[in-house]
Amino acid sequence: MKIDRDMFPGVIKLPYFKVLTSEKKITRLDRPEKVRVSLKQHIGAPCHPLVEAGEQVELGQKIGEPEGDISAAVHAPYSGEVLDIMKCPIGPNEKADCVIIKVAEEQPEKYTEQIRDPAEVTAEEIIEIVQQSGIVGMGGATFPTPVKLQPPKGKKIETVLVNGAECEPYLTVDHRLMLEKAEELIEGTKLLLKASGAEEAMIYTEDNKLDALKIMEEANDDPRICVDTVPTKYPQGSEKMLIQAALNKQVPSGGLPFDIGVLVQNIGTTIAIYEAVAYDKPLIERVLTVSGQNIGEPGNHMIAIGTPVEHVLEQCGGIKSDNSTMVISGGPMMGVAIEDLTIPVSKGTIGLIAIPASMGKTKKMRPCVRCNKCNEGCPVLIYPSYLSVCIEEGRIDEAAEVWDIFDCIECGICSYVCMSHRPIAQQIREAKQEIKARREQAAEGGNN
Amino acid sequence: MSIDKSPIKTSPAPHFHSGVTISSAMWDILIALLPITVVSLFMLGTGRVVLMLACTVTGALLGEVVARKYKGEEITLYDGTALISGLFLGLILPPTVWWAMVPLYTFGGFFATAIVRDALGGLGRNRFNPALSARILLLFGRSSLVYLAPFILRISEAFEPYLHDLEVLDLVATATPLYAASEGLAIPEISNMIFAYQGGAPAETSVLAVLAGGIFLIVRGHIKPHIPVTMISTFFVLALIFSDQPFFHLLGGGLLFGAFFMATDWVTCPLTSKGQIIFGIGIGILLAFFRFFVADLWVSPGGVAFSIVIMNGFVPYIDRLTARPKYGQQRKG
Repeated sequence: MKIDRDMFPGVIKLPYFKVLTSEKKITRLDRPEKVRVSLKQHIGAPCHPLVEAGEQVELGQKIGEPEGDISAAVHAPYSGEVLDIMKCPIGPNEKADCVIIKVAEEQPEKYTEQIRDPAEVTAEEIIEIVQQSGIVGMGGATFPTPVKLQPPKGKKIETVLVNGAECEPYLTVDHRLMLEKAEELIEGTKLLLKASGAEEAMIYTEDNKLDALKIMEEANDDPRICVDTVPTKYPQGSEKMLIQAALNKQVPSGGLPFDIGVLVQNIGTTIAIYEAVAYDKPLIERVLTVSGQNIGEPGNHMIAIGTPVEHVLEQCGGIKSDNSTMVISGGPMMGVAIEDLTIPVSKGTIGLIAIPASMGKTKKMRPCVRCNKCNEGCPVLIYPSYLSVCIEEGRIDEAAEVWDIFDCIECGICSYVCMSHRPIAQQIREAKQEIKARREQAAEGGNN
Repeated sequence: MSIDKSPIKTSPAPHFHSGVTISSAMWDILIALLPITVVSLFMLGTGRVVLMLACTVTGALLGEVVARKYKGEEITLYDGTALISGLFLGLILPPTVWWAMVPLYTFGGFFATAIVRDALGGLGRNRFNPALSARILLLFGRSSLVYLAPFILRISEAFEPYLHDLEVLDLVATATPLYAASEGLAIPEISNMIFAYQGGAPAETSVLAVLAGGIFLIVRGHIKPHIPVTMISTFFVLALIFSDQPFFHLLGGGLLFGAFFMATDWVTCPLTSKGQIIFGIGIGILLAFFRFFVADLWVSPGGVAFSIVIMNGFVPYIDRLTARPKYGQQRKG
């Protein structure tokens, strides 16, 4: 079968700025004095704390117990003393219970010796270990991995897709991991195959990361795993787009990848699964790209979960501009701009980007002139221009019923190309929340 | 090197913008109009063309100011949209004597932006192409003026010297190659029409200059070739069947300018590629109908304008009919 890898429109050419960090090896920074570990770092219910203020915790000790089916455990990223458990900001307009730990001077050496042979473990054991290790999707969505590994009854996973199509500008986390931890990645992929019962696995990267492709091909010793590239194109790293480019399949509207027998995993998550199985290492640290024109020394760093953003930025040379800076958690297209720099790095933080605020500066919103750029660029083939006008005029129901607002993946292309400077992606995000709130309200009303 | 030095700003994602604005797109359209404008200056006389464009542009700018003031909306002359509408109108009107151009063409420009654009929807919402609608209005207006002018002029002896202009008015105004052909006058050489021809509206003076502008717009990504290609080829096929001089019909008159610059107007053309093809074919058929079956000279000079404006009316329906299937809907999983 000839696969047309170029199926979604993707007309935009983004400035990538990946060269700032793509050659920089992953390093560790100095430890912070205190870490603030949020008990809600995943989609689903927050954990309840297992420790109290004043208690001593050890590196890797479980400090948050998951609640409900969709949740993930949280572990201590350092040995030290629990100072407090309190509600703290963890993102813009978002607060959660956080365990604040004073980091001890002496830290034990752990997770250096292999304690299990990954080839020996069974599927059930893998899922149990992943559960105990608090592993979630590390590409930003933070969906608890064990839930993904066990699709509902009647659905079978046939293909595992490991997503190395890091398409956001600046970010080089997955790129560096593929280069530096190719063997662990292949081992992790084998574990995914075993845990999910799939027959084949594919690791895809974009064709602007051919060095990573070469290294992974050399490391690959399993005939069930295929390593290949997809075209460099934003938003290729989106689950739906990658499935289309890699398998020539589309996730049905409103469905999830397992509806068509596919499991998509992030590079970092796959490596974390291997480390959890082989070294019993819980998810207590992650790699992030610290980059942007306004950062002193861009780089890729292994950062403990709970480290304040402030500390990371200071360790990377601080912000070196007198003009307005925008600090973004994540990439510039889908990431969130943060104002409060005391918030902690979490399992889903893929990068910290400091760019001149002028780069994203948009002018005053003008009427839509139907130039069609957003519609041409929309990877899920909906009509952002109509959505934008509908939402502006308050016709929100029409946005949901006629213009498919819930198919939007919020990639931000529409806002990026809009010559009338309409904040289309933002309009869509807000309208989605409003519709959901209304529907919940209606459902509650029906129950009473 | 500290964090406090630099004020932290926030904004909703995405935090990048392509930098393209309405004004930058309008600059591209201005560049695309440059070749044909320059040729028309040489062929029709600098003074006449400049006066004509000045009239329509002034009218268009004035129209935006008056209509927006009246509606209580922001006046945005800087974005260049009114300027472009005025220029478009000026380029598709026949040059005539100054005392007819100043009031009529200024009013045409005013009508285009104030009524067709701002009153009937507003920027981005108008159903019909402003410049073409004004062109149609003036077509009727000019014809009536031809009949009324003798009476007006006789009112005052001061106008006596202009009386002889009347004959000129009627002749110059319709002296397109098409008119010449229909009256059995000498048909211009095809090669002249391609490079530079002395007659008709400024937009009709050179096929090559129009093509250059149109191709520039396609290359810059502002328009897609669907509409011009389908519109021109549909008309040409029909011209082959119904006319003795298909090439002449293809190159003479406002077909090419209409195809590249007027029918492709973002606001009044379909969004979808399929829709644009239907739209282009529709215009081609209508134009052939007006050119070959409606002999009335009153209508045929405005054939292109009529065809496009009629199809403008169908755009919302065409768009709805040709909406593409979204991701996750078009193929079995």
